[in-house]
Amino acid sequence: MDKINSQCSYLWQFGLLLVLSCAVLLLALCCGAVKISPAQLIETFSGLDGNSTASQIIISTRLPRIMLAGLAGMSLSLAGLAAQTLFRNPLASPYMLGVSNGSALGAVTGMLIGGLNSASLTACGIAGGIMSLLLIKFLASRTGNFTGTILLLGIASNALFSALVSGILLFAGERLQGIIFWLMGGFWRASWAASGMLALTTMGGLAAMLLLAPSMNVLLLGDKTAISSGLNLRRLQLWLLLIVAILSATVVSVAGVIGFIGLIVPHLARIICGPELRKLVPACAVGGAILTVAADMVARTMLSPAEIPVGIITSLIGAPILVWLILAKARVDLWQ
Amino acid sequence: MVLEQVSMELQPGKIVGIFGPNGSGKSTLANCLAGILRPSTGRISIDEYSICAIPAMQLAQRMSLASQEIPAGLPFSVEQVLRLGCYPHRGFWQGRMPGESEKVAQCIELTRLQHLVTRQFNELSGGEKRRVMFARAIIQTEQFLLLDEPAAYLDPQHQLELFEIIQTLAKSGIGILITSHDLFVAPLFLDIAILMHNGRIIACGPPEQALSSENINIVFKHSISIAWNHPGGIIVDLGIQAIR
Repeated sequence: MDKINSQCSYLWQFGLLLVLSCAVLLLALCCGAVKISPAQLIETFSGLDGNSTASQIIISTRLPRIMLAGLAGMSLSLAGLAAQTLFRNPLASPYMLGVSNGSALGAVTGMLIGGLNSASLTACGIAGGIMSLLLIKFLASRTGNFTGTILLLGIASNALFSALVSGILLFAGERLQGIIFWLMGGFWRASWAASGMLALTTMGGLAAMLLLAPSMNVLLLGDKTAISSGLNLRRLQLWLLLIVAILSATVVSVAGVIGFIGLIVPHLARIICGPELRKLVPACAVGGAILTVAADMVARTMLSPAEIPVGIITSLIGAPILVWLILAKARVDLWQ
Repeated sequence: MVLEQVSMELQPGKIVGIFGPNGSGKSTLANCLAGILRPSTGRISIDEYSICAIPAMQLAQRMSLASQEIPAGLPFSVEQVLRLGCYPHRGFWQGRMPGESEKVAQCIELTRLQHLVTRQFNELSGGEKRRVMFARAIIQTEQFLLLDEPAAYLDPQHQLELFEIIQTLAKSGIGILITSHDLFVAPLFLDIAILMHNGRIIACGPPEQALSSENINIVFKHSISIAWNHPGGIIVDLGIQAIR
């Protein structure tokens, strides 16, 4: 009976999150430099008015952008959850591994060489992220304390790659403004192709985390207890490392560095659905999508027709939420 | 810690205690038995199968460890932590193992944790956390239970309660190995005691023989004597003289 009650309660909570995500999606479709009415939305999706300006805006501009923002939010929040579980640290974020700055370095180099071409920029970003992952994995494998070393190497490589990006900016010339705007994070380069690529990695990451969720629960018990519970500790750690790296590198390569989503969404999802990872993973994915789509909506409507980089909005929203979480929860524990 | 020439046997239904000073190799031995550390030479086997050849999940079903490690920042309730003891018994696609709730409820009753079940693990005291981790280990195993310093952090009442539970488990056929440096309570409940020093076994046998004053003095380098036949239980004389 307890199990049924718990499942019902979770389905309600998750159902509410889904309803909220639909509401944010519809609002995001309507809001923008050009206002679109609910009637125009219905006409577009029912195929009654496929050639109007509103329809063109929805299909070719707004929908791919919302898709990209939602998928990026899902990726970042899942990567954040994986990082917090891997390091058993509630303040871990997907950017701690240094992969994001590695990816940014790759993308910025790609921009200098090939301009702001979408495909080459994405490819260079992912390549940079994977190379930085391989580097810290290679160095960490040579020590006994795998996660502790990864964490420290992540901090070191973050500083190194950040310095290299700053160094490259000195030679950016007329491209400097574009690169800086990209580094602040945003979805103005959204396209169906970029959304499709991000959908592949996001859904792959989500599926992997759903499969790994029971083992991730056991990982939190500590290394010795986890191993004596039958867990292949090193294999799980490598999987989580890979998930964090791929998800964060792909997001950085298509949308720049978007802060705070990976840090705060897992905490907000824990408040709603509890700490059990089988329930937390889907809630975290939906929560990340809601917050990022909402932040992007604010970014493109606040100073419309001008646009604010979404990374600024997520930081403006995320920082107070994090402070509130710390103050409200510090007496007990940030995890709970 | 390097173990050398260590040879021992843990039988179902028996309680074996490993004693020795800090750093003598007790926990290293428990970690080897639990499959956490792999011995570079020698062999550890269950039913003639080397534990290296037994898949990790199957080994975990047969043998569990309550280590000294208390997880920091564990975000779960006590009941959720106890349910994690069922992890090796669940199938890949199974949310819960068959009879999981009954098994957890039985263990809660046996370990007298009813009043803690709904509490958050992080809110518990050190001793309460140890008791919960002990209960989690009981749920996990079907055959052998390894307890690394189980009485640490516990007050005298809960120490006695713990050893009574251990005796109950042994009577149900579970083989139990305890590591301890406590000579006051643990020896009372043992079938076999092993005394270790510098990674070697110094003595092994019935507690009265293995923990003789002579052996203890060699290992602890202190004049400690145990009166085994005292009518009120054993008395440990630490040989400490107050100097005024």
